[in-house]
Amino acid sequence: MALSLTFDEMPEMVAEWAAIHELRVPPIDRRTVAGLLDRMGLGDRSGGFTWEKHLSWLTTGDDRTTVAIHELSGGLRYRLRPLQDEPERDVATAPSRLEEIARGFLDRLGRPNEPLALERITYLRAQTTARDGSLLTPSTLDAGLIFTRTVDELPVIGPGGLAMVKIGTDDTVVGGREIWRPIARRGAKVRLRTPDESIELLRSRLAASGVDGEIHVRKARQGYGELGIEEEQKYLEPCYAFLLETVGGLVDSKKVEVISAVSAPTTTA
Amino acid sequence: MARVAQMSVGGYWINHYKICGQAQTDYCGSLVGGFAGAMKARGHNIAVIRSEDAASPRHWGAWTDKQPGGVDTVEFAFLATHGGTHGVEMPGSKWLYWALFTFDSKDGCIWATIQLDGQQRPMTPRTPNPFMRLGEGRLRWAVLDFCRSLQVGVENERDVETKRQLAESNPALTWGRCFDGVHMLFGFTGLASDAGWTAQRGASFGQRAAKGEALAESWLDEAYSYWVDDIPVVLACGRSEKESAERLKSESLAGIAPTLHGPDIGAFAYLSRW
Repeated sequence: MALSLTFDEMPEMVAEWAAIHELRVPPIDRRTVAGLLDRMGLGDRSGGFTWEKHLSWLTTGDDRTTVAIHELSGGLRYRLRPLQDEPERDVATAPSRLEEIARGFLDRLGRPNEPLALERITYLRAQTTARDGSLLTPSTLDAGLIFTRTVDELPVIGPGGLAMVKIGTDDTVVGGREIWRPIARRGAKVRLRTPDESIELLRSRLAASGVDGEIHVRKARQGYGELGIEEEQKYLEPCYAFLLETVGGLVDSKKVEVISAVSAPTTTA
Repeated sequence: MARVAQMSVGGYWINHYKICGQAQTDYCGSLVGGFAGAMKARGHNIAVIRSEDAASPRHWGAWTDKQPGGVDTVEFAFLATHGGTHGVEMPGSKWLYWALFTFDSKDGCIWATIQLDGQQRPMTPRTPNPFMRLGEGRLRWAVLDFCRSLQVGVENERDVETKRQLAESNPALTWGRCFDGVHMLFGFTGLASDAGWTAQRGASFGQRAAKGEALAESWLDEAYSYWVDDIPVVLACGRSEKESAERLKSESLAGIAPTLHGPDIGAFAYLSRW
C-alpha cells in the first residue's frame, strides 16, 4: 500500500530566517533551590526538609511537599500540597482570575524570566463509578495553566518550552512544572527551509523507514524544538514538527517527526 | 525521603512485528527500558523483561499469567505496544467495551480484556468472558502504554466513527471486570505517541514512582504532553466511591492501600487532565 499523507493543517512559514541559539543551564545547587523555596513561601518550613541528589535530580521536601530540579535541563517540578488535601470538590474560579494567580506566582518565583503566553488551561478531572462502571461523582481537583514562549517570532514547541502552574480548589498554587532553558548566546540568522521542502523531507523519511498506508497529519508547525525535562539540550534550533496519526484500524498509532528547518547554515543574514 | 517498599518489576514491549503484521513502533523499548532502569536505580528488582517475539499473550492471560514471565508474578508491570478500546451496542442502548493489545508471538497476535472471536468481536457479548484477571497473583500496578488503553468517552478523539463507538466508554466499564487484586492501571485516552519527544515518560514516571511519590499524579504529570496531545489516565479501585478516590489521590510505594480482590471491590475512580 502506497504512502498517502492527508493534511489537517499545512505548515506555515512563520519565519524565513532564524538563528540557532546556544542554551546554558545555570549550575544547580542547594542555594538555588533554597532561594526558590523562599519565593514559594516555604522558607519557614524548609529547615525540616530532607535533601537528596539522585541521578540528575536535586530534590528537597517532606511528606507534603516536593521541589525538584534537574541539573541537565534546569527543569523544575514542585508539589506544594498533597492532592488528597484539596479542600473543595471543584475549581470554580474564572479563567481570567486563574491566569492572574498563576502569573503572580511566577512573578514571585522569578522564573521563567521571559514573556509568557497562556497556551491553555487544563483541569485535573476525577470521576468515580459504581462497581458496574456507571458514573457517580465528577470533580475538578485543580486547574493547570500552561504558558509557552516565542523566540524570534517562532513558537517554542515540543515537550519543553513550557511553564505549568497548578491551582487548587481554593485558589492556592499547589504545584507546577517548568522546562524553559535560558538562551546563553544568540546565533546569527540563517535561511530556513520552506514548508514544501519540509514536507518532501517528511515523505522521504517516512518512505525510507517503511511507513505506508494513509497517514493523517494532525499538526504541522514551524518552531523551535525544546526537549523534555530529563534531557540535556545545548542548542535551540528551528524545526518543522509533524504530528502523524493513523485512524480507523483495529489499532491506530501516533508519531511525531521533527525535521530540521535549517538547510544552509552558511548563509547568514 | 519516604520509606519505599521494594517491588518486583516486569516489562513487556514490542517494536518489530515479523509475524503479526502490525506497524512497527520505534520507542516501546525505550519506554519500558526507561521505566525499568529508573526502578532498578532505586533498588527495585527487575524480575521480568520480555520483548519482541518473546512477549506473549500468555503473560497476560487469566489462566497463564502466574507462570514464569507472567504479569501476575511481578508487582509493577509496564507494557508498551499497540492497542485500543472498542465497543458494541447491546439491546437497551447499553454498550459493551473491551480493550485489546498486540503481540508478535507464536502464541498469538492479540490479547484482550474479554474473549473475542476471530474478527476481534466479543464471543459472548451478553455474558462477556473475562480473559484477564489482574492481581490474582502478585500484580498491584500496571502501565498500559498503548493507544486508547483507558479510554474516557470521546476525549482526545477526532475520528467520527471512533467517536460514535466510544462515546459511552470509561475505563471502569472496560477494565473493571479484570480487577482482582491490582490496585491501579495507568494508560491513555485517545492515541498515545510513539515518539522521541515523549519517549522519556517511562523513565520519568519510574523515577517518581520508585522513590515513593503519589503514583497517579506522577503518571499524569510525566505522560501528559500538550503539544503531542497525549492525555494520560489512571484507574483505581476501592471498597467504596470514597476509598477508590482516596487511593487514586494518595497511593504510592511509600503508602500502599489494601489489596482488594474481585468481590471486595465496590467502586472505581479515574483521574485525567485535559
